[in-house]
Amino acid sequence: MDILNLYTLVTFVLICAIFYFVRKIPFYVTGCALIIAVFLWRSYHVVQRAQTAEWLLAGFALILCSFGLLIVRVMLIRSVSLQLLARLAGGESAAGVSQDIGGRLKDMEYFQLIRRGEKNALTGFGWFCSTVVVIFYTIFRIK
Amino acid sequence: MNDVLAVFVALAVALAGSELALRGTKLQTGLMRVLAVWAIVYAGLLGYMITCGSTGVIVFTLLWGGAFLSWFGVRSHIESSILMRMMFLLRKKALTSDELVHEYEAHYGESLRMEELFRGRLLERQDRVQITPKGRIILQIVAMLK
Repeated sequence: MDILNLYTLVTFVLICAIFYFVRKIPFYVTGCALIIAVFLWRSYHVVQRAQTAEWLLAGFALILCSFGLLIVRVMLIRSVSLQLLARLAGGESAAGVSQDIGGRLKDMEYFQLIRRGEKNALTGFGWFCSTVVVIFYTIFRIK
Repeated sequence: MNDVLAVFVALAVALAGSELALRGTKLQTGLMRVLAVWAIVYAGLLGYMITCGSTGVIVFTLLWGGAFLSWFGVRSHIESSILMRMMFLLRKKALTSDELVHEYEAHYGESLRMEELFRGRLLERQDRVQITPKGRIILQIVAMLK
């Protein structure tokens, strides 16, 4: 194993450690950014010129790993289906799904996607985002 | 830079192949087919890296794993995001909060979510609805991540 692969592996292990111990997203993102920056700076001085492409790929790999771990975590902890599963596992009823769904309205207002009133309507930013959603639904054939 | 080009071409092939493998079904339904696509493309690119490329196996494997996790997370989120679905519904017309929740639940409410949990073998019906061992493992993982 050459030095670049070793550095990459060690950096990945550190990212995994941050992922496990740091639960707040801003701290996780900052921690990963710092680790990857240190990796890029330290490894740049030890790689040979012929390894430039591999060095770029290593940096890209670590960024993808950080992002991938983050988004899977967010997806799992916010999942309404998994919250339903947890309620059923705890012997509770399935009621509460509507509440979980309704909570998303507050998120939409927070991100300025909708104007709340008697009726909820998309803001200009909301229209833009919903257009992106339509494009995604079309590409991924989501009905 | 041939390695960089090869990686991006392989990622494009994996992404396109995943959509073809899913054939419009939900990600969790076609997950095994998708994993097969990513495994096949990984094997092909690994063969290239060993024979012609200069990128180490560790760097390449971490890149592939990170790419799959990122794609899986984004794709799954787009598919199941309540917020996105609600924005999609509000494009048709402005709705009250109750109307919006009702409209959403008609499309993807509790009964459909329960069906998905049964289909994914996270729940099973015996004398009553109960969680499976697979479901318990998933919940343990989620608890560790919180």
